[in-house]
Amino acid sequence: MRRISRDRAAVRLARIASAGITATLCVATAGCVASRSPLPTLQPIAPVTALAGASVAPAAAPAGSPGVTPPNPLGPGLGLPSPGAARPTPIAKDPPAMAPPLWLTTTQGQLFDFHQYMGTPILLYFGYTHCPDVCPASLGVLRETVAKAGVPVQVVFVTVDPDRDTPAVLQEYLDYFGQGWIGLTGRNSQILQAAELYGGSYQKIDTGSAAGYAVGHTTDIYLIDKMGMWVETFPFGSSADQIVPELRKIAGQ
Amino acid sequence: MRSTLLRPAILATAAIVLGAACSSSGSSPAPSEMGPAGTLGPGGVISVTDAWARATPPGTTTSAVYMQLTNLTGSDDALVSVSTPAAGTAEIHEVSAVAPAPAESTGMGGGMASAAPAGSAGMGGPMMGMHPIEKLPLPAGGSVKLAPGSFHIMLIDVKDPLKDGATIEVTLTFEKAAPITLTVPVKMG
Ligand SMILES: [Cu+2]
Repeated sequence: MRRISRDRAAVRLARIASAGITATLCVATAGCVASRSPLPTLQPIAPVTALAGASVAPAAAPAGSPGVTPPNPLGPGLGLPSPGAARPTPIAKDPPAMAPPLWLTTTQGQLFDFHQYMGTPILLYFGYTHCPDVCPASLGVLRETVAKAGVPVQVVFVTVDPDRDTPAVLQEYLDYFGQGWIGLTGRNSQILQAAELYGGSYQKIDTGSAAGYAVGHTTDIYLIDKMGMWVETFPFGSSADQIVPELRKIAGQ
Repeated sequence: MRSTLLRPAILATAAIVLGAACSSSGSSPAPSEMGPAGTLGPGGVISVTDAWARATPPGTTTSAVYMQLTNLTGSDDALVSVSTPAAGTAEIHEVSAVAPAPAESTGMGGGMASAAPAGSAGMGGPMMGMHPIEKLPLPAGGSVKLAPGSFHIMLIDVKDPLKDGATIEVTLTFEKAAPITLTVPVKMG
């Protein structure tokens, strides 16, 4: 007996037309090849949330494809992590503690002083500009958080790669993500000490990459309230939707 | 009893074609019955979905490309190399937890790595770092997601800034399956 037991919307095939020169790639939500029965070893594929080549127009639809319910090929959630993906649990600092000091300098060469930002919640993150993966993902979350929060918030980014992140490089990078974001730098010893005061750390790693050394670093986002109290830590993978309510809560203090 | 069947068909509205058209596969005569593996193309079939490249912030020349790779064949394969005219080098990278080195050998700050003060220890997550890998295994019938914080295709020496809304060509080379060239949209991510 044969039956359709796989969602055809999940069939998305890259098809190799011939072995050599002409690799033919076909990605389709309903598929160039419809699976009429399960591929025994194939894991379920998540419902279509995004498609490669969003700028490519859908192919013309021939009539008479029985039983096919065409999904929306471009949505929802284009390019975003799958909606069902598990999010890490934020860690409340209980009891809240005075935010450890950041004896570091801004890209303008000023010593950073928390007291200047009393009255504004701070989102603090440690990272580096040569990181194309984790850091921009986190900064993207911060950008989205700031946009959605609707309350004043100050983002502070501490470089863990002061050798390559000169003040100019650092500020140009941050300006891409948000207005008025503060970049902090210093000597490695100072930066490491600051990171450790937040339970974080970092270290250079030689990976053999053509990109040069990488910097392994903790990837938490720290939330500091209007009174300078460190109240919560958001692990990597936290979403803006998790941070925004916390931010609003402390904005109402 | 045959338990599986693949039937090529052209289906409504949703076919998205990247690079070369898929019509050749859809319109060419095909066996009415095929097994789950090895019949969809020489060397196997890998599907690529959700591909995107991260736009480069100003001043940076590295980027990352993400996608979901699904090995629709019955035999193991692997992504072994990647190339793109958009960057000098493309590497397959994995992000993994980095074990803290002893303070004296961190090479940072002259062995400054003191123990975290009491009260903060244990609060933080692990250090995460990226490193190149020789190949990305694609187990038979399995699906591997390249995503921030896990695997990515690292673009190094990006020639021109990658702007949101642009596209780049990326060629994936596999151990067994024939190479695939796809057009990848650039997004701010
Ligand atoms: Cu990388």
